[in-house]
Amino acid sequence: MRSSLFPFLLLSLTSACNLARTSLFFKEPELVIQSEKLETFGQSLQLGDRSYVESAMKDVFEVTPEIPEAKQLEDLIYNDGTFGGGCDLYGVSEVVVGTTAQAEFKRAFCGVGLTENQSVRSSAQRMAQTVKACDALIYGANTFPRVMAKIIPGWTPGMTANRPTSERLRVAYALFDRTGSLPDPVIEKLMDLSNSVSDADEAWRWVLKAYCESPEFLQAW
Amino acid sequence: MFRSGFDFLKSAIPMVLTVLVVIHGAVQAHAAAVTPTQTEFRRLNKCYGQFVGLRIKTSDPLWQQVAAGTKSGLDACMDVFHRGDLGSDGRISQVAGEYDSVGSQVLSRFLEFYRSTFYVTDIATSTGFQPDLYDANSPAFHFLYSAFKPGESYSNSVKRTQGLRAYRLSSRTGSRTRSVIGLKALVQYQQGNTTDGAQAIVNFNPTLVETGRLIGIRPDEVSNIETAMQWKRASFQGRNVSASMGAGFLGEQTYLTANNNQDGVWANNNGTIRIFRVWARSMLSDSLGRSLPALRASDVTSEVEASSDIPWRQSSSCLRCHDSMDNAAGAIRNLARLRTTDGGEGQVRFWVNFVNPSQPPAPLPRTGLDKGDSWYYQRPADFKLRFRSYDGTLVDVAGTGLGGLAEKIAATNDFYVAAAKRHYEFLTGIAANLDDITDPDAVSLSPAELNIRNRVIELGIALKGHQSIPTLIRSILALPEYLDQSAAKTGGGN
Repeated sequence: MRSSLFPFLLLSLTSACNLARTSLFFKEPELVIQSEKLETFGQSLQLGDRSYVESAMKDVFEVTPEIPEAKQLEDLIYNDGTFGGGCDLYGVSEVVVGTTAQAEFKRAFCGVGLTENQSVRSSAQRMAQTVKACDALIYGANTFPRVMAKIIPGWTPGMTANRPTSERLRVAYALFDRTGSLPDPVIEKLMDLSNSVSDADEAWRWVLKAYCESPEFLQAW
Repeated sequence: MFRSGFDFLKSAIPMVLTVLVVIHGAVQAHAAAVTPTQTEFRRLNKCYGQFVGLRIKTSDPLWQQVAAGTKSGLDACMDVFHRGDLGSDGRISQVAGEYDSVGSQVLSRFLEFYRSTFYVTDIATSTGFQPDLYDANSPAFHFLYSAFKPGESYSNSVKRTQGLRAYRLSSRTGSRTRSVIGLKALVQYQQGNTTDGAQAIVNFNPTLVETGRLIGIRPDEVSNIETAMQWKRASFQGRNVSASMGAGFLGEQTYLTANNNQDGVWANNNGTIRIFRVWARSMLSDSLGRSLPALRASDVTSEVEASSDIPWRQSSSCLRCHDSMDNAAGAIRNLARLRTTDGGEGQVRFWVNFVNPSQPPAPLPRTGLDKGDSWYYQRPADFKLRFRSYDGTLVDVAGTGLGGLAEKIAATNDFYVAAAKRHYEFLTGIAANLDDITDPDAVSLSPAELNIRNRVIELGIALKGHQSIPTLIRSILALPEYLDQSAAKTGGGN
């Protein structure tokens, strides 16, 4: 299973590494694109950190705190140092529940030093966890229906009438990349490819997976 | 682990690969064809992500205003930035009776950014640092306060005579009983001397730093004064263990501790072996953006003494660093790090500006770097600030004390150009080269690198004039390279 995914991960990572429009929230001087052209003027990757990536996925898939997908997302994206981001030990506060001291705002800290941030950098692990997070949401019992309802109002599972159309593919893409759009030839290609999947829901899962893992979504600009 | 659709997914992988490549290529190719509205959305989308750390929702009023064409993306970005503004009481504003969560996030994000710009980014390993008594963030508070306190000049980041303290919000009632590290029980702070029966160990209860959601910054008026501390020397009495030594971030207790290379030694710097040169190194980097060596070999020729018993006086290669560090360190020669006890977990180490009642002998002639002087630490805190600016100018100015140093730093161009470089890199992801390119030994820059360098210098010189971090940030957000890094290569206009 993992070996069959490996070529996919590699290509995805390569694609992400060559991006010019991603976001780095924190200074990371050693992070320089391995391209002679870009290195000549000191350009570095800008990648979203744990907070941004988690919020973007929550936004698209309507992840609310009470559903299990929220915890999966937090564990894969937020609570793991892979995605980097700011940490603030002093942001965590002590509260007493009964007779026990507990942490309030514990998401403020991330287990590194007193004042260090976690590096935001591209890595195979980051990409692997992005893929897993997308899978968790695309196959989520709560999140798949929620995102589909945003694409097709009144959507119900398994209906042939709910297959991807050009217009629906555009609507779906706009959920992920609000500031860009897909040109007609790409939409046509997506239509051709999705038509080869017989089951309507699986066709949509395939489309959503492509969008969720596309660099334009998590770079966001 | 994989769901029922995995078999399908497995077979679809080649298709997904194809689609990813096609989508990415198409979007990149169409980047130049975006409409003005899309550009405004992209600007807001990016700045919101950077300032707040979250993806802005399309239901957000700012997004709606941009969509309606009633607000530009740039203005919307600055609206987001100003959610972090501090009111007259030092706190962010409230929305419906609650402190604005977006404003709190903006403050936190910029705190993380400023903290990341210091030469020493973590002080966890600094000997004797008490994270509950001293806020590890306090040096960064000075940049944060300059950015979000309306009307505050950027130069005050290094000129402010008072320390800064955070306002934080927590649902906790009553005072803290646990440490910020791992929520362990707090240590009991102590004073006294275990070896002297007349100075028995007693407890004291200083005001601790606040914990919780960051909602503001204020001048630190807490007086953690050790009135009863009489052991060792009478001149220790009445010391505020939280007091700033002045000069903005440079004189914060935390900054001095984080950059201290003289731990265990108090008040006996001799100007040669024992001197606060680590602090001076960091000062050059954190305030002026200059890394060592900051001088050319020709700048230190007169200091070289081949027969000196001080190793770094024997060659210009050593002096190119030591000249800058050792001369600047004179500004804090009167500081000492004292201890409230002679040992134990409750010991507090704190910095004081030590004034010895005894009179030192007449000052030695100052013809160059101090050569070793047992009275060095009690002499006037004379310093020289010596470095090559980014434009090759030899800065060589003298003064006395931290306040004098702050004035000299604030008068340079480098202080502002370094700030512009950091903000530019934070926002665009592009690092400018500010090396002394007129140095005959310097590596030449490409035209693209020169364009970026010139852009940053221009921003920095403007900052020196207007002194406003919000204005600097607005200028950067308006640049074409904010949304398209490749635009920086040509230095195109807006």
